Amino acid sequence: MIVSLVSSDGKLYQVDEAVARRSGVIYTVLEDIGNQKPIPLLNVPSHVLKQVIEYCEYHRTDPLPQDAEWSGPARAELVRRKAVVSDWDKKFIDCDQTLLFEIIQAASYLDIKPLLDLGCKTVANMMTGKSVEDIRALFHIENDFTPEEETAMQVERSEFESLYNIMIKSMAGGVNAPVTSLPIPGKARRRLRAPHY
Amino acid sequence: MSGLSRASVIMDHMSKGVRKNTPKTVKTIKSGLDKLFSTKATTSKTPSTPNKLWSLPSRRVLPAPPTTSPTMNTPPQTPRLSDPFSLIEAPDISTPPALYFPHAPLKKRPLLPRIWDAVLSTPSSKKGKGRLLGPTLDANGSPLPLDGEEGELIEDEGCFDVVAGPSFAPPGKIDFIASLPPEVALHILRHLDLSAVLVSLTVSRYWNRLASDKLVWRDLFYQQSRWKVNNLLASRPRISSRSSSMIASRSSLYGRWARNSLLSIQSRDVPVPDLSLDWLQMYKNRLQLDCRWASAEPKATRLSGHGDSVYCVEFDHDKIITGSRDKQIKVWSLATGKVLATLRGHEGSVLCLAFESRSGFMVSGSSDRRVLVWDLNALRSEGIRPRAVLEGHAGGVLDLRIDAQWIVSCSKDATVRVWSRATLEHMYTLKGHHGPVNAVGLDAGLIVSASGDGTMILWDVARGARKARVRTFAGHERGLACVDFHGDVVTLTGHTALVRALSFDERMERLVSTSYDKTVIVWEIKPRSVEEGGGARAKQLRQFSGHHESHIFDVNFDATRIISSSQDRKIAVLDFGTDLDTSLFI
Repeated sequence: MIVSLVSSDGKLYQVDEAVARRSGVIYTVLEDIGNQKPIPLLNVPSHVLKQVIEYCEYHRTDPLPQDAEWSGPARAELVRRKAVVSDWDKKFIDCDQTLLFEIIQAASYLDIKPLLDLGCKTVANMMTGKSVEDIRALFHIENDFTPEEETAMQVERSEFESLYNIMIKSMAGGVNAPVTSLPIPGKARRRLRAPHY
Repeated sequence: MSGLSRASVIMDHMSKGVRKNTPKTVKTIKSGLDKLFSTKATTSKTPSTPNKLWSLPSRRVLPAPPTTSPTMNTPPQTPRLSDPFSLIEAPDISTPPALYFPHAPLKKRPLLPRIWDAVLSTPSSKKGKGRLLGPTLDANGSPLPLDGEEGELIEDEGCFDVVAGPSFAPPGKIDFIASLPPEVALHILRHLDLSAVLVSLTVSRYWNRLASDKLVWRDLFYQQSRWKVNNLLASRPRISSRSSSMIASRSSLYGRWARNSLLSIQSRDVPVPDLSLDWLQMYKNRLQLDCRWASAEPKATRLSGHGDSVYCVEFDHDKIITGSRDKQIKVWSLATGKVLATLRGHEGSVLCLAFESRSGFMVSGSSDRRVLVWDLNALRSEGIRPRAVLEGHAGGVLDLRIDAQWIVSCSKDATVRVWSRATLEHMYTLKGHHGPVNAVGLDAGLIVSASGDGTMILWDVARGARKARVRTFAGHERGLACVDFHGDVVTLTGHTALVRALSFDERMERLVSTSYDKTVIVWEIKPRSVEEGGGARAKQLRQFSGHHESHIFDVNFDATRIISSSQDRKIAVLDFGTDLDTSLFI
């Protein structure tokens, strides 16, 4: 089955239903009213829709994310585990800020969680390891704090950071102790691997 | 941010006149506006009084989701994106959000002057052009920092660029956090590590507000796998100083669009500690606690009340329970150190006890060969009678463990007995040791028993009494005194005398042991991957001594404290959480 999508500037795109259903919004539309006429996507211009379709084409066979994965502590877990971005995704999302911005908007609007995640992760990566000034320059943000506020925040921040460093250091330090391991047979061990918390 | 975006609205109405006017005129207009704003501030709580200024969508820079797309059959539930913004921003008018880091002594800048700055300084967008007064000098001749008081103008055009988003910014530079809807911006921030979030807090006011959101900090908290929260306590309603997350509090406003969206599921994960908690502060407290474990001296308190050696100690978030050679069990308040109740029933020394905080179920074992079952929910200060007596051991009961299904006791008679927790019936007697069984561990129906004969036996209750023995571990040269068992078995050396007791928390990767050498040692136990040969790595982190005058018999710990009991009749509480709110950490 082919689904017709219309971009905000009126261009018609025809994609496989499996591809279109990567979008939670289109999925819902197809479920609710069926695939009868072209679906207008009022907020997605054609140059962005093209990219989004390319992404969905490539990922058409991926399992759809479950809702529960995307909230709460489980999600934090997921973010950590899924830290690796595939090479294709990396290349796909390697674009200028304007397009990246539009892709994130479209992914959010169309409810394509993995793409939204990819976009957000990319922005997060741009910010990681940067200083405040770097970030302000990177995104062209003006500093709207008063000088007092800024000083106070610097103090708090360095306090926070030094605490964190103490913790990290304490985990690295300490005297190693000799350990004798007593193996537990495999069958019993598997039972023990169930989470305790 | 909210103030700034509103500035753009006012701009449209007034900028023409303002720009051409002299300062004096400006002030007049300003005071007029002031009136308008102050009325709004008082009425803003009643949503039924619409005000054109505020109901205007404040951040319409970007295309919003469809108002009603002809094919989408859900018009009533699909509000315009701009609507939720005006809804969340409304309360800010009367109470501008504080900046986090929260303890910083901040000077609140009133909303109006900020708008004013923007109105005056933006159109030309040249720094300082809109300035009306020269910088005020203090006694030393250095400029006083401007604080947005009346008449002062601060170079603050930045606000406008933020509002303007992509169209005003230099090509190719976009403030993703301010230009995207907050729930998407939060999603970005949730991908950051601690240091990046700390940096984000100091980028701008709007960034500060988003980066201090509870969602961000809760994620950061849970990324520390060793940190735990007492879900039972945390899910109780609490009075919180800060309003809940921007997103969670208004997810219902998004209707259907939001329910399919990424952050709206919050309300559904029920038993998870919710967003009424101040996760930023929790994170900081927990971090501080970890640092104190690493290097600070804990505050030591000694509790006295028992008339003889205290053999065993257990505790939870509000009480300590001890058993003594004086045949009594005492329940102490963890907060005050006062005795809440004294339980009498044993005819010999109380050697061991175990209780479950949630249900109030407690068992105690004694040299009188009996196991007594208690119900702590019925606790009264004059004491309670035991609910049941489990008899069968031919020698003193040396150690006890409970889980959801079983009560496991071990005895000087060289046997381990397994009782059903539900019916309190005796189920199995596990025989195999050749000496007194000094200690048992219980995990997932598996039992490890440690005996004075130097062997340790792993039992599987599910296989029945005759086949229960899975494996015998020999290897200790001398008799085994204690064991704690969660998933793996390791042996450590470090104490200079008999290791009498130990306590292990797999999640925290900590083990605390104590010895007849009167010291308490904190270890870090980390599992080793299979590639590294499996087993575990151990490190000695801290050693505490001088808190007891004689042999230490038992020790237990949680995230905040170590509690030990000794032959000197005292209970020592080593508390790392002084002046910190650690009530939710376990």
